[in-house]
Amino acid sequence: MVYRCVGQRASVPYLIKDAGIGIYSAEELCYYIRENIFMLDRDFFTDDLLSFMRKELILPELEDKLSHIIQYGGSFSDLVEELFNTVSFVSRSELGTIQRALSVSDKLGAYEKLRIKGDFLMKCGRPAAAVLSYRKAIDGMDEKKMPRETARIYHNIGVAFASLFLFDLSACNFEKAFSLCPDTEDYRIAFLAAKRLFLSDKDFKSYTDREAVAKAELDEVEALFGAGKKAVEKRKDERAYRSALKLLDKGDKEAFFKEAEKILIDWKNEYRGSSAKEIWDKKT
Amino acid sequence: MEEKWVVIGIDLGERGAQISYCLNGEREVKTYSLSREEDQFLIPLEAYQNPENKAKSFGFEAQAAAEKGKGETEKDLLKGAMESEDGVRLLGLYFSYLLHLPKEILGTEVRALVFSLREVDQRVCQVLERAVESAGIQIPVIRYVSYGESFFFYALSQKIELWRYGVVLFEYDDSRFEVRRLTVDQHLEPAFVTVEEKSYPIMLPFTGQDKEKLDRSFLSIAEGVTGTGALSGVYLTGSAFEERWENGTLKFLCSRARVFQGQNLYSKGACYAATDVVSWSRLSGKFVFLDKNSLRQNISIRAISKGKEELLSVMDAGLSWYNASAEKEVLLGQDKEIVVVLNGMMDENERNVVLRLSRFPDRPDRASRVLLRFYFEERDILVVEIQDLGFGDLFPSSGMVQTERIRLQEG
Repeated sequence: MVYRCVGQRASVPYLIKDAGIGIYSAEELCYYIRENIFMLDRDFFTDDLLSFMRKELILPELEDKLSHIIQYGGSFSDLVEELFNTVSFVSRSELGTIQRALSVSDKLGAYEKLRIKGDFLMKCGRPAAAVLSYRKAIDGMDEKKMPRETARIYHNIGVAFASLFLFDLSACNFEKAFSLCPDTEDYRIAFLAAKRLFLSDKDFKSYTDREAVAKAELDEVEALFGAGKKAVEKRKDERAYRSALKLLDKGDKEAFFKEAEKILIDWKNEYRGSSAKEIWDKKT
Repeated sequence: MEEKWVVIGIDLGERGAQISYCLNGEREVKTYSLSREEDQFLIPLEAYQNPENKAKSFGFEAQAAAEKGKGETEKDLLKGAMESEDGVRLLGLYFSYLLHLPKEILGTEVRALVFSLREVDQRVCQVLERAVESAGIQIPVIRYVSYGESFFFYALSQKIELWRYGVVLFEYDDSRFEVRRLTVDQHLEPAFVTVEEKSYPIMLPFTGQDKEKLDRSFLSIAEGVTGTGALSGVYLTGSAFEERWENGTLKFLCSRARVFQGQNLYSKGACYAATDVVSWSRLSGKFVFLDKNSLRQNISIRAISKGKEELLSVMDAGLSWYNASAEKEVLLGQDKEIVVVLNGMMDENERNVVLRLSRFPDRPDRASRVLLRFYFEERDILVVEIQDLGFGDLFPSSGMVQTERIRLQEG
């Protein structure tokens, strides 16, 4: 099924500075608000945002209604309800869920909101930005008083680093998570998997012998790798790479290099989209 | 002072081209004539390049230059454009020349251009569009009409008493004798207008035949075509009617309806079509024109709007397939399916075609914006191109495009 769009797609996006995300349509705005409901408040509806609705989304009536709500002291929940009703982005029952979530959000701590923001950024394919959000969350936490919650965030940082191919940093964070929650075997397996990716086969063997890593744990890591390999084989770029290798087998080096370059460019662009440089600047 | 702009109709016939135009302030359609004293509408579709200085000339100027330079013109520029890119560029230059002929419209913005051709297909439309583009001619709307459709626009742009009970057009030259009968059914709203076409090889060739015998044959045909019911208008066009030989038939036709003769009906019809494009005439709002090239089905897609399912209209029946195209942007549900609905205009039959976008990226519900492009590849093959636009910065576009073809059933 398809859904009718409301308003126009903007030529100049509205930038949500905190998240570094540009919004081009009313539906994207609703999606962002729904996914980050715990992090937002009435201040989100700035004059610039309202002006964007009028000028770029061509929704002057919506802008008028929201301005009216703000002028007469309406709440964030009132604003969200008006926006979602106009855009019809969610059903009535979903809107009810959102409004209940809003009432819960008032009771959430700062670190929880930052963690949720980090999770959202991961879902959007922005692991570097997610790490920064997670780190801010940890900065405000006492790991002795909240070991589980802190471990969860360290684990998420580990996942973010892994998606950036920074397996050494990934392993450090998984190790930290495990140290805070030694009863959570998943953190241990994640740490070993990151180590496996970071070290050479020989070095990993030396490590596991030295640390007397249990066979069951090693088997679980290998099972993870097997599943990962199958998932990679299904990827379009992996199929493209295998086709390119066939060209090399046939002796057509020029065609192989041409295809390989295309694949490399795609990978580079995908990686750059994860803002690796950002994480390095902030780390150092 | 009101800004001046113009709409144009260009007829591309076998013997040459004609250009008709209508300025916004005047609303009268005029056809460019080489001479003020008599109607010389036809401009040869020819080009000539001077071998010494490479200067190009077109139309009658090309013929004169070729004679002077003892060379030959390149004839039938449309055929040349169908065969090569050089031909396309030359045709584009010819159009540029054509647009500069009527002095009244020089320097005026052209808001719409309609080409009329005997037969229209996708290939010729693409060639004409490329030719216009290659010459740097910038016109926001370009359309195409067949001679049948051009006749419709011409006839229904006249006063109602000239078409209310139907109109007949006789076209006659050495290669054809064709009759088009236009009927208006005003019981429906909008009114349906149909054009029946028939050829009569018995009248060919025109040259060298006994004219009295031809007149008798013509009379027989005219009696059959006009029937006994009311008729509003008759038009005669083509080189065969430039001399008077059909006196008997003419007498009969004049007793049945108002009779008109002219050689610029199609270019004027194209220009009337252009006035409709810019909404001066609003013919297409009041009439649905149906011929063999018309869509017989309304095309829409099922969509949810404000929580309710509705039919989002894409194309209405009555459009000529070669002019029919549309774009829609919608949000994809998690099922990644688009349902195209085809409704016959003459009946209640509804056909649902489900397009599955299984290769498109998995994203949350309503977090994929897609661009749908609808157009016709052939008269009964609807092409739907679905392009993934992503969801802004939240989910970047994958760039994927899926193309589906739907064969329309007879409506």
